[in-house]
Amino acid sequence: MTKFKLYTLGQQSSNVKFGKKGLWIVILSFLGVVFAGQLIVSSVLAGKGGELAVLQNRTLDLSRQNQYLKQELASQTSLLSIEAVSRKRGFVKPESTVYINLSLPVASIIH
Amino acid sequence: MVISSNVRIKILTVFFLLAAVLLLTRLFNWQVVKARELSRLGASQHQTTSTVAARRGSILASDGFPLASAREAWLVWASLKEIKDSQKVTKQLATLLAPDPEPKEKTSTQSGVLTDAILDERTKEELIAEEEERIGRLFQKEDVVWVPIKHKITKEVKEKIESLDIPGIGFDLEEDRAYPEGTMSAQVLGFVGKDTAGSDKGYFGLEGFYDLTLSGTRGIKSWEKDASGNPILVGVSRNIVSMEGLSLKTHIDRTVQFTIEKHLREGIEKYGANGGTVIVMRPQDGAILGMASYPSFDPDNFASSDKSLFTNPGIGDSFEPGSIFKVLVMAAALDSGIVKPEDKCECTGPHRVAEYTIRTSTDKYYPGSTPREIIKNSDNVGMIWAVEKLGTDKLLEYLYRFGIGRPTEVDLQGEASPDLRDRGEWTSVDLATSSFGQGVAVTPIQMVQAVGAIANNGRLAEPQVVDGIVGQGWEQDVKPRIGEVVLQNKAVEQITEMMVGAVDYSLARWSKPLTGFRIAGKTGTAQIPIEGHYDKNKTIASFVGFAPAPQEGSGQAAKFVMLVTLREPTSSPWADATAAPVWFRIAEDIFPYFGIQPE
Repeated sequence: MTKFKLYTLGQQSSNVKFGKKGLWIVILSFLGVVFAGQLIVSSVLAGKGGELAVLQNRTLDLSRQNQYLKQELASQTSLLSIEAVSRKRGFVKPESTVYINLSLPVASIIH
Repeated sequence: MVISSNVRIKILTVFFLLAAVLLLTRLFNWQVVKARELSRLGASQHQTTSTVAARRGSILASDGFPLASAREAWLVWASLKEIKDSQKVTKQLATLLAPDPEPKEKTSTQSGVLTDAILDERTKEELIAEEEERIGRLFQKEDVVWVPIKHKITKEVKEKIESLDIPGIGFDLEEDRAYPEGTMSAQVLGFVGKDTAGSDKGYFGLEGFYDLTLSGTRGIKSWEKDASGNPILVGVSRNIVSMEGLSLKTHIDRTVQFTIEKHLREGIEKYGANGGTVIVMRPQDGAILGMASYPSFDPDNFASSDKSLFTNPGIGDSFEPGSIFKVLVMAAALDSGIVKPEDKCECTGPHRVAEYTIRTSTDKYYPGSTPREIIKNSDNVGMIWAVEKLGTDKLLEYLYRFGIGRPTEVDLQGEASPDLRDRGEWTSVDLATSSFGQGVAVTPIQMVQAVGAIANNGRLAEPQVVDGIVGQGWEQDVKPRIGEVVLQNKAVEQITEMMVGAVDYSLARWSKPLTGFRIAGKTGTAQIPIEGHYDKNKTIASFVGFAPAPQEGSGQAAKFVMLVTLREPTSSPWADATAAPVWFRIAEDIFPYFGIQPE
């Protein structure tokens, strides 16, 4: 026995009618909400697909830009570039190298 | 006639049943019988598949600087139906796509020898006209709707073409190779060309040897798209991830490489040589710190280079080493105990072997020479005395242990290895001449490896260019290949002192600033064999040495071993006037870099 039946012994037939009708209303409302929700999610996701494509292209562009900048940096810091720039600015190769002994004594013990 | 309602209901029922059966049949036909075909048609409309390219790995110097790396490039193509005025478009494109004329290279003022071969003397106008003709031919192709015009154009050229806004011209992303250091270490790097299927493939050097490692694997991406071409997130997608190529971290030291290339170029010009090679190796682990040969090629423009320059002479060209070979023969004689440092050679004059008379290079003779003096004087007659005591069997055994006659297996594509004659083919003349490096052939890398064993306290270290493999967030070292012990400590110390003596004997003449340094070295001037005889005028001048030469019992190790060879120097045929000064000029620059101090 359901709750409805305990309360409404005298009005059983009308409550049964309400129970069936109410149940249908609940089921249909639930289905309606589910369908509506699916519609909303689908339309949102459809829009997101476009956004995803934009983001993917942006990622690719940034990756390509990054690679380009790395190459530019390498080109500007190559020894060839540095040599050319230093020659232009008047740097010359040292004519000779002088080796000095860092451990120059200040004092020494005389025996 | 009146039809009763029951009959009408039955007729309608049958009618509806027939309609339902028809409907079900049609549905069965579309959803079962033609399901596959319709599914395929649908997929072709809303499914899209693209290949994800794998970026080729970089080749890095020891400091992580990229010697070769992937660079964005573009394929420019034309949709022929959309090209309105093909003549005008041809002219516009030709101006931007024609290559730049080859730079005119300087010639030596002293000897008239070109430092680089001039391959192309066409002017810019001629190159544009040729490009116009080529593009014109492409536009005239019949039964073709799409033509590729040029591969691997740079971003700058692409932007210039885009600014012209020509209908029917499009671009596809490709990959090219960038060389920030220009032609430096070109023959070590190799280049990237195409295979028969049109895919990128490495040739020669590191690009060739490590092609599979550098290449990576392409991926595939498949997804459902909507009418606008955007991906449907809840749709079916398939993703095979691409694997980017791995990078190589080499032992190549940019400073050393730059220095040796500069001095090699200057030396070739100064001494009027046809070409030359310099190799610098760390003897403890065989790490190749620098390798340069000249003439070389531009890896960025290899298609217009002389193909004979692609082979790295340092590993691919053999030569008769001459007197630099004496250190190996004498080391073998000392190590075997057959020759002792205090032994003396008669060496009173030319030595007769079979029907030949062998003289010293200067026709001077040094009676009663010790092994030290034989090396110091580079005495051919003294060397014959030592090798005849050693014998062919022992000599071959030691040469093989030094790595002569077999590939070093250095990790560069294009290594060649001249064979040593089989034991049965050796005559007394072959034994005699091999003692001073004639009648045997070696490659420069074999010579460096062999002398490196002396510098590494008698243990052979096999040469290696790559230090490690670098992936995304990980790095794996490539272990050095340390070989067997070739010489015992005592023989190493003895031959090292002899080589130090050989250098000190002429050091004042070669390069005064290097006094006070312990350098072990040997000159070698080898005649070049041509058609069964030796050319009287042409030589290969070499100097091989290592520094700092370890003192007896010091435990010190040499920091590098270096070989310089010059082919056919014209200012003087002798190594002590050509190859040796180049070696010392390079040493002068790299001693402070390596922290090598005078005693």
